Order: sequence, then C-alpha cells, then structure tokens
Amino acid sequence: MREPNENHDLDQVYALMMDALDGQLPAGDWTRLEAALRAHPDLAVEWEAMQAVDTLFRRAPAARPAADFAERTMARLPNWRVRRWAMGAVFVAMGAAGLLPLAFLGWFFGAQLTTIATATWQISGALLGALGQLLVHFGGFLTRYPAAMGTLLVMIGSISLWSGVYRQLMIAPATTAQS
Amino acid sequence: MSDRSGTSLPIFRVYSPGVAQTGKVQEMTQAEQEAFWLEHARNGDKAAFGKLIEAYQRPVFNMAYRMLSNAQEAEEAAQEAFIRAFTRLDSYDPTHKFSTWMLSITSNYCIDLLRKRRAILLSIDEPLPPHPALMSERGKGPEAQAVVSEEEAMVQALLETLPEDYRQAVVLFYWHDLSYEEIAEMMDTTVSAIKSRLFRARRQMAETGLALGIS
Repeated sequence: MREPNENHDLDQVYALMMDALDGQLPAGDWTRLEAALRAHPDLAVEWEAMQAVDTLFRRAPAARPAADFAERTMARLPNWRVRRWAMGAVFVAMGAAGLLPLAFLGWFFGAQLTTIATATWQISGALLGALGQLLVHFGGFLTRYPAAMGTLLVMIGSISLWSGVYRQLMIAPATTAQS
Repeated sequence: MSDRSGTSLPIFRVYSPGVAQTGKVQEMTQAEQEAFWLEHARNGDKAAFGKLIEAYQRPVFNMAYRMLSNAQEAEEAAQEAFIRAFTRLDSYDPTHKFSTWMLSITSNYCIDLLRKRRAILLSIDEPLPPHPALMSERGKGPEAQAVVSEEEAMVQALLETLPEDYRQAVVLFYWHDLSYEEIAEMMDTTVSAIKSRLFRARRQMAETGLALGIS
C-alpha cells in the first residue's frame, strides 16, 4: 500500500476518497477520482476495500444491552439522597449532644454559672491569644523553613487523595453482569 | 437523538397542579423531558436518572461493546459509566448534549479498560463471538443470521486492529452520527486531528479487510 505523503497527487486522491465516503464529494470531482483510480490500479483496490468497510460499518446495527440492564444499573446507583439525610441527622445529633453538657451545667450550677461564664470567657481569651502567638510563630517558622510548607501541601494532597479513594469505595460494588 | 444507536426518550406526560384539575395533559418536548429528569436526578432522584438510563442504555452499551468487543465487559463498563455520570451530575454542563457527555464518559472509561487490558498483556487469539442481540437484529432465517454473524465478526475484527483513539473516533462517527466537530470536542482535540484519525483508521481497516478477504 502506498503512503499518501509520497506525493501531492496521492494526497489529493485520498482527500477525494474521504470526501466520497462521507458523501461530500461534489459531482464534478467524481470524474477526477475515477480518473485517478484508473491511473493507479493499486489505489483502486484500496478504494474498493475502503468502500466495503464503510458499507459494512454503516450496515452494522447498534448492540442492545440485556432486557433488564436499566433495572440492574439503577440498583447499583448510590443512594445520595438517603446518605445526605443520614449525614444531616448525624450532624444534628452531634450538635444536640454538644448542647447537653451546657444544659446540665445550667441545671445544677445555675448560681455559679456567671462565675463559670466569666472563667470561660477568660480562658477563651487566653486561648485566642495563644493561638494568635502560635500563628505568628508558625509564620516565622515557614519563612525560615519553606520546605515545611511543601510538606504541608503534600499532606493536604494525601488527605484529598484518600478521601477520593474513600468516596470510590462507598459506591456499590459491581454485580455480575448477565448478558 | 435519532441516530442508529437507538436512543429514544420515552414520551412523558406530566400533570402539573393547575392542569390536573381540568384533566388536561401537558406534553413535554424531548429536550424538556431530558432537562426535567436531569434536574430531579441532580437532587439524588434515582428514578429520574433511571429514565435517562432507559433512554440512553443502547447507545452507551453499543459504545462500550464496539470498544471492548465483549458483551459482559461492555455491560459492566456501561453500568460503570452510568454510575459515574450519576455521581458527577454536578459537573455536567447543560449547554452540551447529555448524550455526548454520556458517550464521552463511556468511551474514556473503555479506553482506560483497554489500556489496562494491554498492560497486563491479555491477548485474545480467537475472535470473540458476536453479541447475541446482534444475531437477531436483521434477517429471520438461519442463513441470514449466519451472514449477520459473519459481518459482525468482521466489524469487530477490524475495530480490534485499531489503536484506542482511532477506534473511539470510528465508533462515534459510524454508530452515533456525530460530526467531526462534535467528535473533536468530545475527544478534546481538533477537527483536523479527527479527520486524520478517521483517514488512517479507514486505510488500516481497508488493508486488514483485504487480508481477511472483504468484498
């Protein structure tokens, strides 16, 4: 089989062939194509094979899946709605659980609540102050050791990767296909 | 879609509260039906997505079967493609056709499978039997079925000689009636690259066809 890049004429003949197969060859160009095929018998053989393949493919029907394909596929779909509701319920329960100790404190130590609130306020203030100091020192640390930032980014990447793997694992496993 | 791949959206009749009282039925166009089911599927409605599966199961399965040449693998790949689509509906851009997006997911997944298959050096020396559904597609007598079976085997044999990206372009072109522009967009390449792949694929298949005695 010849390579079409061997000369410009062959390129043009192949371009005509492609247009003809796509049904886009102008009537006038059919004469050019036929003349070229007469001049190149080996191209004529290739052209006939191309046409045969084209006809074969255009005649080939689309394959049908099994009759119950849709039902089985639906059965494998992850249940996002239920999962969302379940996650929401878990968060609400966790929030409510967090309020219970406060209610307990209020019930038993109502008189001392003000003292506790003041102490809590002071502790919170101290913690925030410490957090601010920590951030300042952390910034200074990153400036001195930029490689630490790289390590941090790698850790974040690893967490994202594994969360992706987790999500994939949460999808229902494949059932055995029956064709 | 009205291509050979057999897509057919069922006609849905929707009763809206206003018209339900008068008993009138509001019919939706195909595009509206699709948008309607997509909207519900986005909210996790499996039944709505099921309607889309019903509508697109044949083109998606056909894409997988033509790429993989194995009915069982094709079915699993088609199922996986639908699951991926369902879990990624948020990333679907409604300005593009849903069918194109589905076929893109399916063909890319099949290419991944083919590469894995090649990576483990799995070779199938004997031609795979044609899909049973294709055997009864045309013709009723045993002779006609034998012809269909023979042609089907030839089609798959020719497809199997092609590299994955050529095969993808050929399947999209012949079975899904996509234009060069649409195929290029789906395969994230240029129109000239698609034309080039189809040209090379046709030449390669013609050469193989001649060796196999195509006429």
